[in-house]
Amino acid sequence: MRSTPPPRAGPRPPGPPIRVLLAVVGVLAGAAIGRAAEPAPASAEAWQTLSLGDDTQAASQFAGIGATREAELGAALAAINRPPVTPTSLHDAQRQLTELARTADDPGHAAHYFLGRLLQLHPFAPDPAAAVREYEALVATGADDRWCRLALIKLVILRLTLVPGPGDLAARQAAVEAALTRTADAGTRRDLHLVIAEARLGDERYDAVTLGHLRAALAATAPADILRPDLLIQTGRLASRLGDRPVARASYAAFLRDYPKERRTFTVSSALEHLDGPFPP
Amino acid sequence: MSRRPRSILAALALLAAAYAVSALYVLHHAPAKATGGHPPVVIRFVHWQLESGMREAFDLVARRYMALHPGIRVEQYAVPGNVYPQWLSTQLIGDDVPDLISFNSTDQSQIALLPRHFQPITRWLDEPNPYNAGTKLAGLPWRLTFIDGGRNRATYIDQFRNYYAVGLSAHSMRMFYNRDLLVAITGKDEPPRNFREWLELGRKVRAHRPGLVHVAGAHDNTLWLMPTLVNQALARWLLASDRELRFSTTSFDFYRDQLEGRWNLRSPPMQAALRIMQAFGGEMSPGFLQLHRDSAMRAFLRGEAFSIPNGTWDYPTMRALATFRIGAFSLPLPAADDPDFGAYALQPASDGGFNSAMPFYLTRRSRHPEAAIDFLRYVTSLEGNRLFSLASHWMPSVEGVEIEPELRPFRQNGSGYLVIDFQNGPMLLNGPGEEYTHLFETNLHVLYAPNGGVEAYTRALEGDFHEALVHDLQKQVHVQTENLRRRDVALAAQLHLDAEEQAEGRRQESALHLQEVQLCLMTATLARAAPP
Repeated sequence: MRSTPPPRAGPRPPGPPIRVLLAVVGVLAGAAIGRAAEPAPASAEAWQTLSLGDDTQAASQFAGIGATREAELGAALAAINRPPVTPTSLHDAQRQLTELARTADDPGHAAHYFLGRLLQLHPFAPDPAAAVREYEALVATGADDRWCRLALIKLVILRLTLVPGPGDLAARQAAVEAALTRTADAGTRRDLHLVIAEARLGDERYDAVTLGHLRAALAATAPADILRPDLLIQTGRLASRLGDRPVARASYAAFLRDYPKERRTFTVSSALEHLDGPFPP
Repeated sequence: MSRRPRSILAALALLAAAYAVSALYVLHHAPAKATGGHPPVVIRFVHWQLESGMREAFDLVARRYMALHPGIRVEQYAVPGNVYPQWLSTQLIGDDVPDLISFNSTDQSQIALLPRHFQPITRWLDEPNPYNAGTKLAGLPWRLTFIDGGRNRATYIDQFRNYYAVGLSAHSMRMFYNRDLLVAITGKDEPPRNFREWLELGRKVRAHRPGLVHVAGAHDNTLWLMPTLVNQALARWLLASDRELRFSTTSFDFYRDQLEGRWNLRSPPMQAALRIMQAFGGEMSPGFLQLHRDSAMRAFLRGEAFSIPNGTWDYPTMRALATFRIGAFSLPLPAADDPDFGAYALQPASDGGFNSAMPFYLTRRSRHPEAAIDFLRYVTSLEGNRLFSLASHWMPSVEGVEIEPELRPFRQNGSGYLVIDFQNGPMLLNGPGEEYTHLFETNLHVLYAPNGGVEAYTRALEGDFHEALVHDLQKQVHVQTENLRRRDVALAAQLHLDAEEQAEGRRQESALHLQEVQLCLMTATLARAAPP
């Protein structure tokens, strides 16, 4: 707590009106600093509205907040889905995002990421190749922030499916695997293992590389995670196909132990029972 | 007094009487009256179950709950099913929406709007249900007290990775039959054990009495039961499409295989499916595809038909109206050694696991969410759910609630093979969209016509099959892409909320990534497959 300064000679100390004014200024400044640390209530309300999918109302709320970068990002995101969605409305959203993306801060990176998403998920003219370029540019900043991590995952998904990278299959696989080295975030690495395994299984690449990704994803998945039952079955079935019975047995047993009410329990029990022979019997 | 002033006086008297009745009603329901000066908390719930005994069953549990909580008043609204969607839309837009709403939809665009109107209830479901204190369910998280762990396509919304509802009951599709007639025909009350025996029973039924029909068929009932029968009869084949090795073949998996040329309508399993459909429909009333299910129900209740395929939700009504004993069985599958039908079944087959039904959602505008959840806790406690099941003759949704002997044949069979995704599994008859379904349904008469059959039906489908499939899959991709774009923005918004919302947003993202992989794989396959 500040002490009261001693009386001194010279000009008179500020009178009560000025003290009140200074106090008010101090309070306002304090409030402003507080707002910088956490979202203002109005801002939180607008984000809440946007999270519920009411884009029109959210746009109006963001417009009422003022010209902060956070509010501008909110307004740009609301413009992506605000009805009626037309080429003009999407062009407008794209323009707002492009403007925001010129600055390399959090709203800027978010805007950059959503430029890629808009290109990829555009309702009238999707351009996954252009989206890949956006994601690559964002990942190339090396920021490893939330938006770069998301861009990295979306980049890998597109490279594994719609927009294969240059070179032969081995080169493309190596490029995708390299994504794992571009982030230190454990959650993102888990998600990368998940999407790589999913795409490889979708292409029926039932090999040790896919099993490795499944096991890595499983190891990083909490017991209560909703994806874990699937991962246990996938690991069990792929290990069984590859002749790795100990891993298959352990995965099936973990599934039966941890999810006794799951609707696939009978099927998994049967698979475990017939681990040494053909399945289904 | 002239006639005119007398009529004015009469009108005024009527008005005064109406006012007095209204005033009495308001006074009787005055908030202060119930709780000695404190306005009661009013919980309102709405549903469309007007079957025999349902409203009374709801009233019974509501009264019991109010006796436990004198400060709470529970009000039931039963709205007829034919106007329910419109009524619900109007209520959701307005401010006066009930606290708890029974709602069910498989429409992706409606599901996408769920968070706008309803609250996630995951945090409550993770806590024990206090009304189970002192029972064998004490201490268990509420969700684990349900027969399906609280999770099915209505209660847990995958794309939001959150629980939104709890189911109060459970249902299954069964073949209901006239037990007295079965004894008269066969000398015993034993349902058939396999598909051939069922067909043989049909021959005996028709021979028993001229005009007696084996199955009271109708368009709706048949199309509810037949897809399940066909899927179960083809489980071994469908499992081959399970690319992601989850024991959970999806619609995308199965139809990707078709687009990549791995099967067509003339593939042996598809031909077996069509033969099963032909045999199944051959047991129905003539012209069943044009009949409404009410006609089928009347034929069954009048004793003109031996059996009827139906959902167990109609059992209370049938029970109240029938003059004979009603039995029920699961339509048996072809035996594994059956040369015409049996090569692709995996037996025993699961009904799809245990599932709760009649989901109730908590509205975002509920004035008393804690009290509304508390009421749901009571109705889905061992005591409350038993009361509700006994009164309604619907199956309980809670583990360990004793099932009445007459309801036991309705119990879902979860102890069997299940290899398709329960939420997004392939349906040979009700395929990936309306074009495909329309193609199969509008040509069904060819399958059952005297000069038709499997070959004629195959030929009728072949011409438009590829185009219909591609059209429906493209539409699905479009809808899912729309949902993805919306979810993307919603999740980004969640990151600006409190820590709990942020954590939830991150959890949902992982599932969304996997959905996106599947969407991209299907998009790539469609790009290669279209045009034909």
